[in-house]
Amino acid sequence: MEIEKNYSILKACRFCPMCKHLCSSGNLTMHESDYPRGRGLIMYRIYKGEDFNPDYVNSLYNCFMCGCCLAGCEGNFDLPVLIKSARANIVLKKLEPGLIKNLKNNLIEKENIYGGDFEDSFTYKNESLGTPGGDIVYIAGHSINYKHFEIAQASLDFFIKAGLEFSLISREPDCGKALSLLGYANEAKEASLKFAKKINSMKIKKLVTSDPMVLDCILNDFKSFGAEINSGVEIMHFSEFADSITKNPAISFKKYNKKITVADSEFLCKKNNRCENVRNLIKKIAPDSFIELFRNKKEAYATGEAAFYQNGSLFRGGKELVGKISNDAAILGIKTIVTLSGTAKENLTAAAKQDIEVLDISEFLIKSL
Amino acid sequence: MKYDKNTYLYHMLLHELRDIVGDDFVTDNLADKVSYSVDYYWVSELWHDRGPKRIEPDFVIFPRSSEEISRIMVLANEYKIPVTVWGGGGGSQGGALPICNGIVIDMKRLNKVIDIDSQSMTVEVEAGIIMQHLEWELEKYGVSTMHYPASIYCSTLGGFVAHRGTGVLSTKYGKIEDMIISMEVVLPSGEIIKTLSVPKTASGIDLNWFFIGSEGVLGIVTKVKLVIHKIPEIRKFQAFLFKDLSDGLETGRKLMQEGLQPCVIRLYDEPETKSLLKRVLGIEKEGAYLVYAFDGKEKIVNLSHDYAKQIAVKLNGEDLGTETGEEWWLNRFKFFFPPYVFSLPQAFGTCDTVATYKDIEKIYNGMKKTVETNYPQARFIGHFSHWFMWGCMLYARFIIDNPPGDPGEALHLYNKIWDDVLRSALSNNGVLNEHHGIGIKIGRLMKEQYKNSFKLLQDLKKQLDPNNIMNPGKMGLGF
Repeated sequence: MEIEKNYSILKACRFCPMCKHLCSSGNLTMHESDYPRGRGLIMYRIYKGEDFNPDYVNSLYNCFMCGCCLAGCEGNFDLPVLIKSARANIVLKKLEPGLIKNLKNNLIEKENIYGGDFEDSFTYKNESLGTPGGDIVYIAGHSINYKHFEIAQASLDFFIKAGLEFSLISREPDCGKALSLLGYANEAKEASLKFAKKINSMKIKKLVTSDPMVLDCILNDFKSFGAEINSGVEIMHFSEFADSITKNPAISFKKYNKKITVADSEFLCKKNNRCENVRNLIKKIAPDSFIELFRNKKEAYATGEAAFYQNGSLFRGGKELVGKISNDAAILGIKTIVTLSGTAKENLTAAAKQDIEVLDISEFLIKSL
Repeated sequence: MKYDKNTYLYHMLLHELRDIVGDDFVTDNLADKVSYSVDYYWVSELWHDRGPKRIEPDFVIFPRSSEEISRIMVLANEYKIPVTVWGGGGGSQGGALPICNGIVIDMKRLNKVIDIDSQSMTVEVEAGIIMQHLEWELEKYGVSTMHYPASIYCSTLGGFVAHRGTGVLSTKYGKIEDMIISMEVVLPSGEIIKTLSVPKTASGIDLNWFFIGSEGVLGIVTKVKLVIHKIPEIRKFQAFLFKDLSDGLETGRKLMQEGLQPCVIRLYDEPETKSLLKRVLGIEKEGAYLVYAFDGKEKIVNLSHDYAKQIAVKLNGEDLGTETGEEWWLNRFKFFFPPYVFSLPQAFGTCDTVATYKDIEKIYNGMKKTVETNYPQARFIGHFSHWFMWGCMLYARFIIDNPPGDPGEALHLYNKIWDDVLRSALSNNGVLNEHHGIGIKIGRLMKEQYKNSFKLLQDLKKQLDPNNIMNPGKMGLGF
């Protein structure tokens, strides 16, 4: 059983409530079963031999996997890892909710959580913008490739302004992250192998993505899936890439004077310590008006990024979740919030006060050129 | 009375609860029932680990207002169904456990900051707010309640009021009861009352004192107005080591009584210095470790430190410096949480008490002797953490590394130690508890503590809650 393999993690949770104040899902629903402690208690019951029942299953699928709890835990209780293994158990027993099965089917059949057709995706429609054989491949990720075309467009516009050649994959494959988070370990492995094979066939030097989950998947999950991107290929979020090339004389920015901040990304900043590049970029453009939110970096409020699959059908709380970010921004007099993923932008746009603009980092850069 | 889910009466009640708060805010699902059957009380954790059967609520309800709570209480009286109030579930005495099943009212939706009055330096808050969330809000305005207990990350304001909680800075800023200006309370009957707009009046009996420390047996606190403070200019620490615990205690007493107003004094006995302090702070010293601090205007703080140092040195203290004290502050909560805190399979209890300076050392020695003489399988450690002009609090703990495997036997041994240790404290003018409360853990000893005055509490309970539906079985007030 997967939970048993992670017993040391389970044992690390002594059901103390030291992380309660940080939990995204618990502090939305207020149910004890939606806090890390409640989930720890439930998984302990499973470990002790109780069966999964629909209520336990729902609680375990309600976790946003944001990792906010990790900042509060001295005991190394890595709840997202444990939840993933619990979900793998649930899937093996074929007990996952119907909605999760539907998402899985979308991912297997259409390689995206929305179930959209390749022909409707940004990369399919805009493949001609890219130059095959270039050093850089741009990976949009699901939420951008099927919903937030404006982020992909802004990212590519930036490449073009910088005089850089890039390529797109018209039928952009799924990296497997979503399947892994949902508990479909075998399917995730297959997807990751297919993704790696495609990338490795392109002989690129850089993989640049607007989706922090893609980056996290390649850096942290691929090894366990048995997948590998060729060594020498640098994996970067768009913000890191943009930060690395802003010395390019072709790129100059006009100064931005309104108060501006960043809503940190769970997968980029909390999990992968890549918090500074977006700040470097913003400070280049708004040296006098960048302001940190009250809660930032490792202690930032979640933006709902990891709850991507709770795309309104399961998780109707996107607006409420990021409402705290928006409220704090309003107190600080902030006029622009920069985001780092499609999901974050979507949730914050829904929650933001009227006079606060929400822009992906790519959009902010293009606007400032 | 446990409601059978297979009966229509169960569903009649469920329907009425939904009618009050909405369908989305009542649950009887199994995941929640597990989660509300365990708090930080060791016995509930033991039972979760290896007890045969949990005690679970029938329903958990999430009201959004005092009015909804009022309607719930009216309904509960009609059905004669027990009601237990749950804040953050961080209590160690079992006070929030639904030991008679029934309804659990989870207070966390009542979490708004209603008003910050910067002229009067007060904040009015709904009682279901997690304390750290309140502090985050106040921080934005450069103020704080200065109420910093280890459970700040999970426990609610209402929970602290219910059991008279205290924080690390209580020595200067007071326990929670010292911070309260006024409250709103829902009585067991459902009536909503407000206490007077300010304390410190001569306008009759102060109603606040009926409900502070009443652990949910006399009513539900829904709103609290608290004192707030500006964040001080500086807070500076100093640490000392004493070969003799008595010298440490005397130092603490003098710090309190020489007009210096420290914000922190914490004195660890030798066993705790040797074990926990070594583990958490890496201090490898033998003796009793003392840390104290002053906060406020820098000049005054520095002057206070000069006077304090003189007191400690005169009483044979070895100066460990400011950094050692700062290190303690940075890690002040680590002691209470994994992996530093005791946890199953160990059995452990915190037998905190408070007494005058005349009695406290005698109480410490008595409790220590009780454990070490009668329970060779147990260890005893203690520290003195909350100080007053007249005395101080002892945070004593017993730890058994390998209690019996059978949960019933483990519970019996556990309770036996509690009984003996607390009776030792009572016999030396101590009390049952200083800031964790009574709950179900030590309710059985309340009559011994209060003697004939316990009847006053029983009569008050009967008057306010004639159906005994409000957190029954707690504080020794019966089922």
